[in-house]
Amino acid sequence: MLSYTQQIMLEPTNSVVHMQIAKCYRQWNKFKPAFHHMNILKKRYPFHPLFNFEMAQLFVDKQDKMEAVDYLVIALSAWQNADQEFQPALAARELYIQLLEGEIQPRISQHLES
Amino acid sequence: MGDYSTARREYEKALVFNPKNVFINTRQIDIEVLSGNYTTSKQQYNILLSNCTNWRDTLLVFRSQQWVHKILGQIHQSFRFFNDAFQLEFRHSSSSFLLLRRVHEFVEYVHSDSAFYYLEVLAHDLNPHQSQWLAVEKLKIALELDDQPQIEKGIDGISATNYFYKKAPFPLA
Repeated sequence: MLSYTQQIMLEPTNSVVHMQIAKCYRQWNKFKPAFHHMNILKKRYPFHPLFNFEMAQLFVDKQDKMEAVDYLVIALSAWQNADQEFQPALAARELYIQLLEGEIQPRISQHLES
Repeated sequence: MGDYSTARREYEKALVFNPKNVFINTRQIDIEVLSGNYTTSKQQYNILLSNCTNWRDTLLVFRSQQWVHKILGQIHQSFRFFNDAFQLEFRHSSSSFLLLRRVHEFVEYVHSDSAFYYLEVLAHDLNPHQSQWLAVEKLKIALELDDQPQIEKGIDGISATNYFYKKAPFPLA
């Protein structure tokens, strides 16, 4: 975290570093600072699949699965023609299926219909 | 930040004065990419590519297409555009030094053999001042490959900490 914080001071426009910082906070269950960094990215790149996937994981960890699905749908719509072996898309699909099999099925069905 | 409508307006204004400027055209399409209009953007890049009249313009479009395909998770296609761009620059550019700074991208696409090959080829053309950057590029490759022993040891006296915390250790030639 120290290294990433120092890097973001040197490269304030480097978006990937914001995501790495958010990931660190997510792993420590510190959601407020994690969302702070992810919201910066959301504003800069609202449809970037990787950032939307990270946002989805953040909501899953926060137990807010409904929000997670919204972000997963954005990520997966960009990755619908991704290479079959592309890991982030595979992981996003797996997470989506896991949520689909959970208690929030009606909301996901609405997404699938649209 | 994230103000795409202003960006669109400004690019449109710029294009009134420079309608054929590939750089401005590319940036305008980039805005559409960031707005999620991926399919349209890919078509627009292809149109732009067919209108390029010199290798530098083609290079710009190749690099943008590389970026879009990377975002879309189409890594094989992204690599194809990166490789096309690299070969184009390799054939036309007189600056081995600038090319050197793209070599580490081969590693991102799991083509580290190519990265090491081009490091060797380009190293011959560097002057002693520029050759200090060779160590920096080797260090980037070590970081990409997560080569911990090499990262800890540093390369030619340059450590990851020195490079990333004290930006630009050497003035640009």
